[in-house]
Amino acid sequence: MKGESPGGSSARILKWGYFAEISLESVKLVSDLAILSEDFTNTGEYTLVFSQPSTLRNMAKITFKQIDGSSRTVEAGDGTLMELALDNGIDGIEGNCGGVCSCSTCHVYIPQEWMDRVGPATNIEQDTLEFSENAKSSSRLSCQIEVSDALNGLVVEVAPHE
Amino acid sequence: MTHVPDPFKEAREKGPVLNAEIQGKTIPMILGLRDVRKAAKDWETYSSDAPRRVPIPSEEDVRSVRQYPLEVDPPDHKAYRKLVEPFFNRPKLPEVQEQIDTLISRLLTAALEKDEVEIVREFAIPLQSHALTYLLNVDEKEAELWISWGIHVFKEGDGEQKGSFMENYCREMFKKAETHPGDDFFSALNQAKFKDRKLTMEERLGYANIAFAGGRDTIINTIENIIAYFAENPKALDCMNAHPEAIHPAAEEFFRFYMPLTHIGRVCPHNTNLHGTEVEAGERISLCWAAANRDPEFFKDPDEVQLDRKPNPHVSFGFGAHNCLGAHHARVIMRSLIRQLSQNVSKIQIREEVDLIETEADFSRKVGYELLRVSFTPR
Repeated sequence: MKGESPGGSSARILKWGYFAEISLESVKLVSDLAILSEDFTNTGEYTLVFSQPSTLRNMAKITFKQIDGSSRTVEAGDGTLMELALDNGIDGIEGNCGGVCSCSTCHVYIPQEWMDRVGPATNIEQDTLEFSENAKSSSRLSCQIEVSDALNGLVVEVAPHE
Repeated sequence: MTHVPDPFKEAREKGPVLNAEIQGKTIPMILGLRDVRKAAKDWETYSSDAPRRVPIPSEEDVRSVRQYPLEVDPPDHKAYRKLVEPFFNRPKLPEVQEQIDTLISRLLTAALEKDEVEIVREFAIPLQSHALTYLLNVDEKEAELWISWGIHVFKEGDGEQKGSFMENYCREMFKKAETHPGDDFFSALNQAKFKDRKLTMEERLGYANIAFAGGRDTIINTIENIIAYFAENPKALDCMNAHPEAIHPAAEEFFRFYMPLTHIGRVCPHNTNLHGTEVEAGERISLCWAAANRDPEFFKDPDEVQLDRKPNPHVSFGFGAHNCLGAHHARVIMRSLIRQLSQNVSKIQIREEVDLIETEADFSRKVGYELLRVSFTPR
């Protein structure tokens, strides 16, 4: 997020090209979670970076069972399961489309006991998976799964390529 | 105007298929995303085993060879595709990505030094041609000749003459690679084996044909459309600059919205009933990627460019076994282009534009530009 200099009583936050007015009170309210920094473009704008201090966050540990049978356990930060896999070079997760549910190259299987916590696929995701030869009832696209502390201990299996 | 209306909107609301008159034949076009994906997977009903007839309009006049692996069905298709996959995966290599970054930086620096630049001829075509040398792993000097082939090898100017010139050029390249083998595309195909036999010259020419014709106008048009979009939406440039993490979804949205390849054909080997339309054995149907990409069931406000659109299950790289081999290449180029434009350019002004319109009997669509003269303001 990016907004104008907080000199007045409100700040303008630029997100995806649209401006939204928010009060300075709100900025103060979120300041525990956000870092205010002067904008690098020198236009008098500042940047709001929302980031939870890492000391407050429990790092979820997630295990990927790779196609060759080997397992890798990695510590999760922010973002999606696909991004986590790509950052850690998990074999078999390609994420070609960058995480917009269009390519199915981040297909994983979720163990039954984790399905509730991971959540179901949206209709669009289900529709993309429906055409995958390796789809099962436990299939998910890892680009559509946000990593959180609640997923600590999750073991996912990388689906074979078509 | 960067706004590209959807010529299939009305037809899609009426039903799943538009019967279009193309080259004197009725070709039923499948319009909805779910139906297009389903048909793209069903190769037994909708076959690609149709030399020179998979593209619509068909290319029987402009090339003599079957394109590989596009115009082959499974299971042989897989073995054919495997032979060239290492080249089409090259854009995943950091060193190839660096080459593409350097190329775009060079073109952009030159454009920034001028008052005006004509994007089609001075930017998009050179960019596509040079980048292809990295993919095929051939001498970058070869790009100079390819640049002279224009936006589309077959459609622009005398397609028949240009098509046969390109075939002869490829034949020469295969011969040269016989005497001086290297790590390039032509040498690899000379040595490649399909089911324990060497490829015939016809097959090798078929691979080269699509390598040159397939990812050409599509990449060129997409580059033009992205630059024109940023000219009309300067805030989007600032936004990409401030949020580099937004570049990937933005690239996918450009691929969805500006899909330059309207559709592709399949042949029905048997009499087929396509949502109520009877298709006789041997006749063609169309998988209309452009219409599927605007399907309101899957894309909210489909006629708007939403750079943060997620999910975005577009079919701009096709779907199923034949999904675009050049997709990695296209993605690396467009992501680098968006990043470098946003970092180095604060404003783009369009000075002169001539739209490139594709017209068939039943629809017309803007796919890109014949001419796009712009001025870049450095950031």
